[in-house]
Amino acid sequence: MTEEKNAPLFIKVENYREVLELMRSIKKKVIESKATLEKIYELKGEEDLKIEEWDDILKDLEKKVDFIDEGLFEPKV
Amino acid sequence: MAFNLFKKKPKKNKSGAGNLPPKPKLEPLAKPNIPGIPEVPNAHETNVPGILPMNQPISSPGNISPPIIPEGVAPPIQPSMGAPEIPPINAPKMPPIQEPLIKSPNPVVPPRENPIPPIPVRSKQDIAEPIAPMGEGIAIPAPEMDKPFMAPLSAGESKEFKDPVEEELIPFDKEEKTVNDPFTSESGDELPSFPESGAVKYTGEIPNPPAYFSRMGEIREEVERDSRIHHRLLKKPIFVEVNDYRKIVKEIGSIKKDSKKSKDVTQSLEGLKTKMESKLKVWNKELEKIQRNLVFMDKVLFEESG
Repeated sequence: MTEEKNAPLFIKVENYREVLELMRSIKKKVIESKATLEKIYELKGEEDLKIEEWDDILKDLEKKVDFIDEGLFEPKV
Repeated sequence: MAFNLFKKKPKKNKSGAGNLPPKPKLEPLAKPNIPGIPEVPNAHETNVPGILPMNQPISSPGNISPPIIPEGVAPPIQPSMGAPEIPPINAPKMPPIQEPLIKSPNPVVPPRENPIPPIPVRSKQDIAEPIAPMGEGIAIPAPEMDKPFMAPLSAGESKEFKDPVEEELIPFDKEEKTVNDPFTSESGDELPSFPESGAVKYTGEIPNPPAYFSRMGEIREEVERDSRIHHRLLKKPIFVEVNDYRKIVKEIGSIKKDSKKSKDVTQSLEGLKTKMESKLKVWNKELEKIQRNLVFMDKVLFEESG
């Protein structure tokens, strides 16, 4: 009984070749998705840079507007 | 049982069902004595002159003379006279109808005597001679169809025909010899010899093969072994241990979940992208507005004052 319990059980797998092919294709897709993710990261970095630039421009603009506002509506006597 | 309180129970006829009650006797109405209103006389008892009593049959008076009927006109029929005698009609006698002869649908046609006219027999003289081909004046007479065309033999000559199936088979060696070979023929026509080219000269030495040629056998054996293993693996049934199979199934399930998650992430990314695009558009419009305001301010401050 103990031998029967310890005996390994196997399951017949049909279409093994097709399964292997599918596994290969999945691996390929994973590699491709990794590459696209890297590209997205690159684009994201560029986007972040542009956003920072935009932020700087906005800050400059705010300063200039404040200056004009002071000059026009609060004139120094 | 409140709804039964107002319900009248039908009285049962003790005498028997279906019997009608006896008819009440109607008494004649008494004439009312109203003063001032004269009594209306009965129609039968009227004595008014000129008015005929009602419900009396109208009879013709006896002193009315019958109408004068002109001569030649038949007197009107009266019910008292009865049916008049109808004189017999002297109809003209019709000749007896003879029964027509019914023809059968397929009438019998009398046989014709020789319906197809006979083909006129032409004499040989009547037939025109065939047109002679160009340049030849003599027409070749056609052979008779009944007999095969035989070449005329001279007197005393006889010709024997051999069986066409039995052909003389020439042996291959002999046949080869019979072929007109231009190189072996003794016709005397000799072909010109090839000119000697100095490009390739056969020296008799064979060059040594490359180094990997010596290992070709081993490489081939290795490749065959690998292919045999693969072939064996693919041809024979493959079994996987139960625990491994369970692990694989579990992994496949987790892969499915991950793929679903990644799909959701990409969808959310797309949503973010669309949101960002819309915000950028709004920002672009705002910028344009600011630019227009700036231009206006510039005009107001510097152009008008100057």
